[in-house]
This record gives sequence, C-alpha cells and structure tokens, in this order.
Amino acid sequence: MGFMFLVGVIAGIVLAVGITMFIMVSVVKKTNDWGDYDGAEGTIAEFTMIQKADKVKESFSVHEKI
Amino acid sequence: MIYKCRGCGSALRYDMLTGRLLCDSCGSTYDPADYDEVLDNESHSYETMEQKIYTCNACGAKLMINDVEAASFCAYCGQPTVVFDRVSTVRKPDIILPFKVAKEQAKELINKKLKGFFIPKDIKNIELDVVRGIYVPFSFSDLEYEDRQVIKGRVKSGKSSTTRYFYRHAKAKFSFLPVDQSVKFNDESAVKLEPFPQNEFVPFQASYLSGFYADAGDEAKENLEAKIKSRAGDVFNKKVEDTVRAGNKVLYRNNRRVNIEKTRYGMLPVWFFAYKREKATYTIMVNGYTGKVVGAVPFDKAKVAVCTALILLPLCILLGTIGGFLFDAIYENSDNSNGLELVVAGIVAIFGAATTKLNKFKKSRKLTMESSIFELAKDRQEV
Repeated sequence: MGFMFLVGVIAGIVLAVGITMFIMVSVVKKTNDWGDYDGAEGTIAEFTMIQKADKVKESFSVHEKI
Repeated sequence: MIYKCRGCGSALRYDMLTGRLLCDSCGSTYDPADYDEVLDNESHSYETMEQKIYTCNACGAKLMINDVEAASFCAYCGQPTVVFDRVSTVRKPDIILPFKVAKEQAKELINKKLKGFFIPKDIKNIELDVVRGIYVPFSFSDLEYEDRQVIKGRVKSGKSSTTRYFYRHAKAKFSFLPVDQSVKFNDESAVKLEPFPQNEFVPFQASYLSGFYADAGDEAKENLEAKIKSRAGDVFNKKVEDTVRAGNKVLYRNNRRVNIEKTRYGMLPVWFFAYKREKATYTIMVNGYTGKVVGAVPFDKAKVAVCTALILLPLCILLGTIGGFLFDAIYENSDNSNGLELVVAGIVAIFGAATTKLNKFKKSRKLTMESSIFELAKDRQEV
C-alpha cells in the first residue's frame, strides 16, 4: 500500500511537470513567437474526391488504377 | 528604386495614404500610372525591364536602378561607394500589392509585440529606426492537381491495432497559390507572412517601388515549379488525409499529375527589421498590407524560471497527493485495471502536446535567426 502511494505521488509530480511545461511553453510562445502559419487552404477553388476505397491490400498499386 | 520629382529633382516616395507618388521637398504629387507611362515608353518593354545593377562596396547591397536615377551613393547605407556592376534585363512583374502599412505603423506594431512579459529588457528597448520596406518577389499560380494515393495507417480493433491501407483518388483546382521567388527568402517565413488579399493586387507599375527596395526573383524556373507543386501537394495531401480514419497516417504510394495553367509574377510588401543580440541574428517581418508581425524573440530566462516555479510547486503538492491516494485506491480495487493505463496515457499525452509546442517555438526562433533573411534585410539597413 505504501509503495503504491509513493508511485502515485511520483506520477502526480511527473504530471505536474508536464502540465507546467505545457502552460509555460504556451504562454511564452504566445508572447515571444508571432505569426502562425495561415495555410494555403484558401487557394483551393475546387476539390473533388473521385474514388475512395478503405482497407485495401498492401499490394494495391496506384499505377495499376490509371 | 527611386524616382525623381519632375519639379525639383528630389527623390519621390510612394505615399500609402493617398496612393500617389509624393515629393517631400516641394510637396508635388504624381499618379504612379502617369509616371510609369513615360518610363515605359523610354526604356521598358512590356514583359521585361532593363535595370542597371550597382553594388555597394560598403554594405554589399545590390541596387536595381533605372535610367532616371543618379547612382553616386548607396541608397541603403548612404556611402559614396557604389560601383556599376552590369546592365541586367529582369522580368517585369505582372502584379503588385502596394504597401498599405506605413513605416511608423510597422514600428508601432513591432513595438506592441515587444511589450510581452517574457521579452528581455534590452529587446523591449531596441531602436527600431532601421526598419526597411522591401518588395519581395512571389509567384501566384492557378493549377490543377490530381493524385491517386494509398495511405497507410493504424486502425484500432478492440485492444489491438492493425495496419490498413486506404485508396484515395482526388482532384483539386488551386487559384492564386503563392510561392516566394527569392532564393534568400526562407520559404517557411514567406508562408508565415500570408495571407495577402488577392483582390487588392494591382497591375505592376515600377513607380510603386519608389522609396522602397525591391528584389528581383532569382529562383530558377525548375526550382520554382518544384516549389509550386510541393506547396500545392502539402495542402492537397492534408485534405485527402482528413478523409482517412486511422492513426499514424503515412502516404504509402502515389501517382500525381500537376498542370500549372497560369503563373503571375508579383511583388509583395514586407517591412524587415534585423538586429543582432549575443552574437545571434534575428529578423522580424511585418506584412506591408495586413500588418501581421512574424518572428520569434528570445525570452527572459529569469522570469520564465520564477513563473515555472510558481506554477510547478503548488501543482506538485496537489497532484502528488491526489496521485498517491488515487494509485492506492486503484491498487486496492483490483477490478479497476484501466485506471493506471488512463493516468499513464494522460501523462504521455500532456508531455507530447508540450513537446510539440516547444518544438514549434524552437523552429520559429530558428527561422527568425535564419542568416539568409538577416542578410537580405541587413544589406538594406543603415550601417
């Protein structure tokens, strides 16, 4: 019982480190890094999905289909 | 590039507020279209224009100068060390997005960003007199993109996961896809400056360049085509990938067809500010039309350490205690075998997210410290 409690404390501390790292990196990135990538998605005027096939075999060749 | 006032011979500059060429000495204003008409008749053909290339021995700048300008000193560093290099025929851009954000506004925008809590004092107080307006060459393409792809991914079934293959055949039409045409300008930094509003572009007139610097597009044709295809491919692949429900997705095989229908050569307005700190170089850029600031600056290590400690200590006490009792309870209640897995998965997920953010920040800083962009801007700043 005592051992599992100790393991839990360590896990909690590791989680605290992760959360702190996430918060600090987010905050510093927001203040010190400007200009996120906006993407070129807006330049797609038309998008058509011609064919979809899920879970095909590994041996499937894209060249065979043309 | 500098045009001279027909009245007093002083240098004209493009005034963003009135959209006209303005002489600061005598106050005369000129319509850019009228001014260009004369120059076009004198020395330019429609597709190309001849420019005298001068090199400054003091700062190394390459000056594009036309016939009406006297090149007795460097317009960038003010030194009388300009020597004639060659006459070069450069392609005349098709379109241009004129500067809308004035120099003072650009400085203000950067200053606002520099007020951040974690920015070191010396950067907060940095002198912003050396902000330079440069027209950066871009190409804008209309193209058709078609691809047949097999995407490999992991699909969960019960407690295990298996590898699956997904076939997708899709087609897309791109309109006005921007790609930078300057070798010195880092592609990722160029992308960050976007968007540039397509409907605000005007037909190119050299007089818009008056008072600003301009770089000629020096990317080789084959490289440019590869860049256009790669940029379109990134967007296309993401769109296709979104239709696949699987984890760890990888493009396994593909067979694509790209048809570039039309490419326009254009100039985009960018304010550059380059500076050195602790032997490292940094370049902050401002989109000259939208005012978007791009760059990453170092952080104040002491402030970051103090804030980290202030968050970490109470969190350690809180989560350590909760973790202890939680693990104890899970151990005693052996039926709840998923509890430990969930906690471990949560820890891994948070570390993963934090590391991704950290890597993005590091990458941004690396881009800001890119030596080629620094040189591009620094060559055009006062020395």
